[in-house]
Amino acid sequence: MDNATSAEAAFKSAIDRFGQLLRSLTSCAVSQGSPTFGAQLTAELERWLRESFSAMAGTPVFPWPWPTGTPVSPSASLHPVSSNSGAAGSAQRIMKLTEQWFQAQAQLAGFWSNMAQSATEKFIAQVGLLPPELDLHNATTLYDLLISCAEEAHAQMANCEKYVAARALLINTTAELTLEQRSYMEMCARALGLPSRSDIEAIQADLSVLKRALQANQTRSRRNKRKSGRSR
Amino acid sequence: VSKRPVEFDGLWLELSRRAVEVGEKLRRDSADQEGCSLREAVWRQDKTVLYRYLPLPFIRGSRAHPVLICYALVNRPYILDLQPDRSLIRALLAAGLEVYLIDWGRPDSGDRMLSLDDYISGYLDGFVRHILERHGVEKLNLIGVCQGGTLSLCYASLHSKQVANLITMVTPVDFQTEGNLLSKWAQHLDMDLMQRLGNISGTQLTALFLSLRPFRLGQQKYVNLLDQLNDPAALEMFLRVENWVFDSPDQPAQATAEFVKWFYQENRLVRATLSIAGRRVDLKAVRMPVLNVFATGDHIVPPASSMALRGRIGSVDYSELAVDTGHIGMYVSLRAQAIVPAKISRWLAERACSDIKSLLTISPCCAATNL
Repeated sequence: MDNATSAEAAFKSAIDRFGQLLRSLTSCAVSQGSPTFGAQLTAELERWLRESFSAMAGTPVFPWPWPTGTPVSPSASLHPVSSNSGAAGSAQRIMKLTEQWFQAQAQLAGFWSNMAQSATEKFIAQVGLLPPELDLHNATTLYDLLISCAEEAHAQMANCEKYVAARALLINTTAELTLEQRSYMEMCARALGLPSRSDIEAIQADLSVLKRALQANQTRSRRNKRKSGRSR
Repeated sequence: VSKRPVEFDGLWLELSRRAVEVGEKLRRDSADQEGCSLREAVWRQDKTVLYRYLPLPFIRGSRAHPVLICYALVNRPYILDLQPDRSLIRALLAAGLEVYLIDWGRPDSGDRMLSLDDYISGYLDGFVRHILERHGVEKLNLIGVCQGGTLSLCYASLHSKQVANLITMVTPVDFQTEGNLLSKWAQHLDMDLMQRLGNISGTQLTALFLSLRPFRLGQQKYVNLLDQLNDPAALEMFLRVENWVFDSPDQPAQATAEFVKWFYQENRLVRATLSIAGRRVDLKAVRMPVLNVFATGDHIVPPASSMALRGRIGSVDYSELAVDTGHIGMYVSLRAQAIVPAKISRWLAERACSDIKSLLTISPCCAATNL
């Protein structure tokens, strides 16, 4: 995706969310006091947060169907191509990490839910009565107020130590899981006689050692040239 | 209640019309544009390029040393030359300065093992030496921007003889000041794991910066844009900045892991425990004049993080310039444009004069010959 497309995509999804929000506001305006109003707003904010986080942290690849939220058994069906014990151990670690990943995600989702709830409460307390008719001007005014409430609630959550730890746990687990999956796939590749990413990285490491040595030589010879030029 | 769908339709129609208009403009203006001033590549090493900006016509050259701008590894440096009326580079050229800019390029998987040492003692030092040789001088003026400012501080500490004056712009120094959310988030990350994963994706990095204020930066700024449809100049600038925001190169795994670990997690720069290539980076060794420019509303590099430079360097000639703007506003806001380039060129001109005066004091004959 090029930059313009990314910017355009970000713009489009923001406008879509704004439209969705207006829809909620319009449909709820008549029943502002009702629980539906708050629930819809909370759900919207929660969705925005979830999307923002997954754009940043990425999501591990689950190449097999995984029933979300179910506890993972180490004996679940991940069949190593190779029958050696390394592959079986790796498969078990993947299972364990996957379970950990879902737990960490659930923990973080709890924070997002509380934050969205708190933003909605702030918004409802400050908004007063919704105007009987929404035009673009008063819709954006309401929207700006909602954004302020949401940012305030987000700042509170984002700085809380427990949230910071949960966030890091999910990111670290995503990385560990991806690495373990990679190592599992490499075992499979090796068993099939194919080159792996580690092989390529080893070559890159050798190349960079050679490149550094070459640069050091070039610098030395430039210095020597300068010195001999001066002495002449 | 029955009236609601009709009102909503009207609102939605207006919104959709405006959204389509902005979307089309974004697509139309997507042509690759990396700055507005004329420049030539004068030195290349691997993927990095050193650019020299061509002097503006009818501008008298300044006596100051050539200026090298060292931008961050994160994002692209053309934000400093976005458009003629929002260009630090152009304003420095207008002041008669010789301006060079480092473009770190776009690292790929082959660059994953590049370290901070490679960037500071390798590329940056190579660029500095090239400029010094080209101009036949012993020192240059170094402007370090954002993370590039941190790299410049390290360089100035290790190679103080090559730097006449140092300007740091929105530069993090103390990475663990109060209210630094980015730093807080970085504390528990396992950077060894991240490094093993490979280069850090630029797209994810952009998302990280946006997620610091997810509702304002991922939502509100776009919706506010709907009101700017009748202001083509504002819209055009917004689009340029927006394209830049999303133009974020992948970051080399090793250098990024080192930067996060050494600076964010261990705060080695202010604790004086940082070593690059086996040499200790001591801020007290930064003895040249320093101008520290920071933004009071910066949420990426909080002002306290930049201000931590005060009292920590060895220089007796230290000045600060606080600008009432945000991190990106420092590059593109009208307020910053009105203040920052003028201050930098004046500050450099004053130091160029004092260099000449000191030459005259030490050895009038030599100074006269040099002039």
